Amino acid sequence: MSLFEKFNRYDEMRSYFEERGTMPFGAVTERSLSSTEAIVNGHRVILAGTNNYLGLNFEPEAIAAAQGAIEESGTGTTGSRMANGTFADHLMLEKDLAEFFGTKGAILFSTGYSATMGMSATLAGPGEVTLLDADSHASIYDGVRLSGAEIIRFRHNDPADLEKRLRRLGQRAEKTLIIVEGIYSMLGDFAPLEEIASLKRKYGAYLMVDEAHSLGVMGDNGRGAVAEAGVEDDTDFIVGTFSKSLASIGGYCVSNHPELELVRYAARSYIYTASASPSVIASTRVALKLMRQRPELREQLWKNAHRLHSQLAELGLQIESHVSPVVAVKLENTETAVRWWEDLFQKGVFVNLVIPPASPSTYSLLRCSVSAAHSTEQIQRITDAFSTLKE
Amino acid sequence: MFMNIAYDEVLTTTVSIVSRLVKADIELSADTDLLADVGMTSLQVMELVLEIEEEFDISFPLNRLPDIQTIKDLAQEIAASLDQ
Repeated sequence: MSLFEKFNRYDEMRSYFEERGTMPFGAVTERSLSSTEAIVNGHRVILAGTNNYLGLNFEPEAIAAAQGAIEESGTGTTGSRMANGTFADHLMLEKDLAEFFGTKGAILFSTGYSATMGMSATLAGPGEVTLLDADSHASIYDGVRLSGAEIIRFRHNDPADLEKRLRRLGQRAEKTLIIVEGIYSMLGDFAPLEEIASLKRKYGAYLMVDEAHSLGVMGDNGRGAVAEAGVEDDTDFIVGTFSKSLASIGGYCVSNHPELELVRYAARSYIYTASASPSVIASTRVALKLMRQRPELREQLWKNAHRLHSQLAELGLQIESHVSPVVAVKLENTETAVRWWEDLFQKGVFVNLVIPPASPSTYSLLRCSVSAAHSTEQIQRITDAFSTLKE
Repeated sequence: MFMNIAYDEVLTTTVSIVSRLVKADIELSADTDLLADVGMTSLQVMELVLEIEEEFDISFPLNRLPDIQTIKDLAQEIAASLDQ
């Protein structure tokens, strides 16, 4: 018996991949060649699993801003927002975000994880209730576990099931936080936000929407799924990340509730961690501006998403019927999924391998994410690589 | 509909739901351990919770899961929820 016995299953998995001479988890990007190509684990590959939806990670203006911020303010803040780590640039990005979303307030977190986890842990507390979609991201599950609130799941994207649970809560629904995601990361499916917002209103609950995968992807100016569904007034809190469409790192929460300012004193993932470095803030501000200025990026992203979706569907692969920048190929057999991931990699295509329990059910996924920066030829090469795979 | 349901009935229904979800080689009883005896995976446990919620028209908070080892523990929690 040892403290590490419980890690044996991870060791087994690691050994399994080592014996195969492959490394799908923690693959090493040795050199980035562009937004869509890199040398990974010694192979030149098309990046089709990076969440780099708008391809903004090599924008000269963002790079110059980050370089300037380093020269002016140094490499790091060396402290928490509550101590010495609030720089003028943090406040400016918060102002940018509030203005972009049209909300009264915004607060920054150092990562998307700490934003979602921190808000999930802080908003509903002991004696209150959190109702979360069953397919919520790990950061939401981690947060609600810390919250002390009663945690109730509802069936994924099922407003009727959500309503049942709200009804059972009776008066307690008024002290209940509903948490959903704009786009779910594994299958790229969309929350039925209009119906959820209507239920939130009917039962007097609160609603938080995680826009990690929908910022820059949906809605007017890329404001996300909430904006696209027109439910801004019913959405109490929007959380999200800078690490996908904005190609940096960090997270945020925006809200019209003036109490959001008080969350700064209550959210432990805000208080007890160093604030984002000045270069990160600088590049994020530029990326946010570019996202608004270049709607053509979003148009191209969706064109690419439609192209990859239809091409993979034509191959007869098991994919979802909806079109989304996340295109996930489902496989019942994990061994096949691993072998296919390896074959794709050898053919120069990097996708994400997702196996249970990380996948939403018992199946495995080869999860592709499309970028506005992918060329038609690259999308074709991704499809060609899939076309050669055999059961 | 389940307001005054007897604990024994809850137990019988719970055993039936568990047996539907897992293909156990052993005969299930109140003392059957869901992990050690039946080997339920985390996904199966989540499915079990959803099935139970559907069957008894209750919401079963995830916070209570760590306290549940046996089918009896689960049935008692369900009965307590029905009494509320």
